[in-house]
Amino acid sequence: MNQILTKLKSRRLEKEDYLVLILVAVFLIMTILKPDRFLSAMNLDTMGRQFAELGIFALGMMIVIVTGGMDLSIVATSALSGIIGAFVLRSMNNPEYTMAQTAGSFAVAILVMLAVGFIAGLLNGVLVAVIGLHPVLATLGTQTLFNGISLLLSRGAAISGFSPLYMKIGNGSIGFLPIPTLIFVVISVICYLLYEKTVWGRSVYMLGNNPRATNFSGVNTVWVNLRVYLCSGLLAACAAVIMVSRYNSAKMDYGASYLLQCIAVAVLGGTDILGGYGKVKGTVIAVCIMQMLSTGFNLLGVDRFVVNMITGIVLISVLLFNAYLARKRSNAKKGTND
Amino acid sequence: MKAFKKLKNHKEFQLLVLIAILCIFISSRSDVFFTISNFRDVFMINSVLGIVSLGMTLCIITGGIDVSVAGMLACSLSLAGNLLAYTPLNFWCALVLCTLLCMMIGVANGFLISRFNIPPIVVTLGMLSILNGTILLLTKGAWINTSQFPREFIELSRARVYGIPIQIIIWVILIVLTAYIMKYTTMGRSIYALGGNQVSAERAGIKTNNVLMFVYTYSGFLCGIAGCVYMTIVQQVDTQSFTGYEMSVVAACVVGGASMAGGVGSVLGSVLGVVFMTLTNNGIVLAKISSYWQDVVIGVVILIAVTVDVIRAKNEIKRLPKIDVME
Repeated sequence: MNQILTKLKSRRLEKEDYLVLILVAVFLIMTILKPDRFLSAMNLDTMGRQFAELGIFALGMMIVIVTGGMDLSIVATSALSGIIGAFVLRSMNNPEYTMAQTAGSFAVAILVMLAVGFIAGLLNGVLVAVIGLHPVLATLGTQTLFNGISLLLSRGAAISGFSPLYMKIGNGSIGFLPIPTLIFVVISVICYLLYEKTVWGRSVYMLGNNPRATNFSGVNTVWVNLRVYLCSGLLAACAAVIMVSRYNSAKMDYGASYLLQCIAVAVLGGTDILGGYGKVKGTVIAVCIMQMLSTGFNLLGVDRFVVNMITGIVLISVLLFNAYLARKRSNAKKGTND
Repeated sequence: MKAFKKLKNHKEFQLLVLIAILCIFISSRSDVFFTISNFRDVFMINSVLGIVSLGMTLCIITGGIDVSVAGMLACSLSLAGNLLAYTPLNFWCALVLCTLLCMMIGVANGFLISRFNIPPIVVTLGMLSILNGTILLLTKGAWINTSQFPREFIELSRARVYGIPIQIIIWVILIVLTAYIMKYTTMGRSIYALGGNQVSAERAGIKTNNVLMFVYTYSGFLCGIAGCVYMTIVQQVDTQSFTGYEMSVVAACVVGGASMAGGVGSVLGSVLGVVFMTLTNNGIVLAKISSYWQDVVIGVVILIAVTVDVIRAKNEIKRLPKIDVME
């Protein structure tokens, strides 16, 4: 017993460990406040569906923030790919199709969505990595552009009228697990492997820490950075696949509130806003915390606007806390040097 | 000829030429365009954009950005509307109170950005969401209509001096004020210095924290005024009317030559940027192009403006070492 304790004591607590503690605390508080509603099967099921989209956005945002950039167009990309995908789905909706044909039409639509995400990411990547624009300005511009194209195509209306089977992706379950949760788990495993186990992933972290040194050490920073934006574009399209299915329609502003939320989640998950650090594990835990908070507040009868406000407050206070920690650390370093 | 060559390299002059070409193009498509009443109306409506983009230019010059302008505008608009409709205060009192409120928000932005080294985009994005949430919570999104405003306010908002609407005059006064600050005060020069190179600015004895505080507070100050100006134009209050407005503001500044790499930009440039964006939007309407194209055009214009800027900067850097060798 003593051995285990000393072992635990000697292991330094990482950022992610604190997050797990917060997650447990939030879960317990919400359970105590609303035991009948929060722990109900229906609530857990709904939460499982909602946090998948946010989580996928956050994973895309995280890798961009790790490079020291920012992708403000992530939600606009998702809306655009959702709308174009919805047009494809609608045009291929034929009640006389056999099962296989319907599945084929879904595959085509999903491929189209991913292609739109890929092209959008490519545009961002070319602007930021190749031409060298400031990420904020470039993605602000593409955000306006993508929103404009979405508005132009959809005339601001919701696109619907798909085969009812498509709804199964967002609303169906395998066993007791909602399909979106499964998709999210698969995507986070892929992201974990990509970000933290490949040469490209390590180069991204290097790039975020010191772009010049990375360039001088023989890494093609342009190519690495370009692929980061491709990755976030593709993830935005994945979120669109789920979102279109969950709402059974596509509309320009379905995901509008996710932009701030996914930045907040990435930062809460320990990603350094100045770049260079960020873990998939932290982001996934932070998504769970954020979803529990917003669902919990919803159950407590707190206004939807307040939830939005709280997202902003959480974001700024986490950043303040990080800044405080960083200052303390640098002060401690100075102390040892003297 | 030499003077012309010197002029030709000025960003502001190039933009002016672009505006002239745009004017010729639009007037060939529409007879209404080149009339005094069209210009008067269009610039009156866009004086809000003009006022806000002055503050945004300062933020961009320091290498930051202030996307909370939409939130501050909405704050100012709804506070002013409620004060006018439900209290005996007159417009000028409301203007002062709104300006103070927005300056306080600006101080909060500046404090978080300067003391804690958090990127401006994140702070102001968070602030935007906090402000929008607060406004919706307090007002429940209720509209205030023209009929609820006192008669004096309606008369004031239609006032003209020598045929020029009062809103344009406020804009011009603020342009002059900002240009004065940027050109003739220590603060203005410090803003350029900070944007150019933060470390050098600090070593030259500039208190960069104070400069950042000033820039974001000034942006708040302008938003406070702009919100009230907006109310005089539309004479009603809709808290949602500024959703996405920050894009247009950034677009105008960027077109006007302000660069987020810092240290570059001018008041004249941002004024011309606003004129350009205004005429483009006006042209889309007058040329009977579907208004759904508007956002697409703004997006493309931002991207082209920024790209041209960066490529030009790269070319200048390429040219630099050559001169060294020649001499």
